[in-house]
Amino acid sequence: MGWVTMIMALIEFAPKAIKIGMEIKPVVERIVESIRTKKEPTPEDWAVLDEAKAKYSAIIDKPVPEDGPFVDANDR
Amino acid sequence: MKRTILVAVAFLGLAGCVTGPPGGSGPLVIGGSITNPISATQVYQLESAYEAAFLIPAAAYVNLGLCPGASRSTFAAPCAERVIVRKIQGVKRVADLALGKLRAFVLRYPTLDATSYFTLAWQAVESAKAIMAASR
Repeated sequence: MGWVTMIMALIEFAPKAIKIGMEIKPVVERIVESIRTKKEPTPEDWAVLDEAKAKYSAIIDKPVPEDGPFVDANDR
Repeated sequence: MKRTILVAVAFLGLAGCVTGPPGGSGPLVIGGSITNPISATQVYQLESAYEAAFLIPAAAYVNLGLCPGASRSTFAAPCAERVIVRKIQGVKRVADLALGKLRAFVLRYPTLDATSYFTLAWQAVESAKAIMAASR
């Protein structure tokens, strides 16, 4: 792979990596806060967790066809 | 002989439940409280770690879009390989189930030992993390 391709790929990857980092940061902060305070999670804390799980599950659990792009559940 | 050993074991088991008043003096009382070694806080921390270490990277990987046909992902043209996406979905199903059971048990029975549920959930989360690490 040439240097130009590598630099182009890095330029494409950098915003995605930053976006993932920005999404992970508040979750890590929540964990650190929980470890520090040892506070029992409130119903609101569970709700935030469940909301995030539902959001990411909707992306991950899309059916994978043998060929072609992802099929949305609504289109099937 | 067997009976003697059984009685001795039963007494040793009960000895763990014997508690005395603070300070160590006074009569001994049988039936001390049992604290669950797995708390709701730990379940919350495990689920949050699962979100940070698996769900977010997995969603980002799937969002790359599927590779055309059976082609593989390259550095220049990154895409989500069907095989890996299916593996991610498989471990996620197992982890979600294990974490759901663990949370339900700990919230419903806070004084019962949830170690076995916690171990299962922990292993499921570790498998999920390993899949993500392998797909990088």
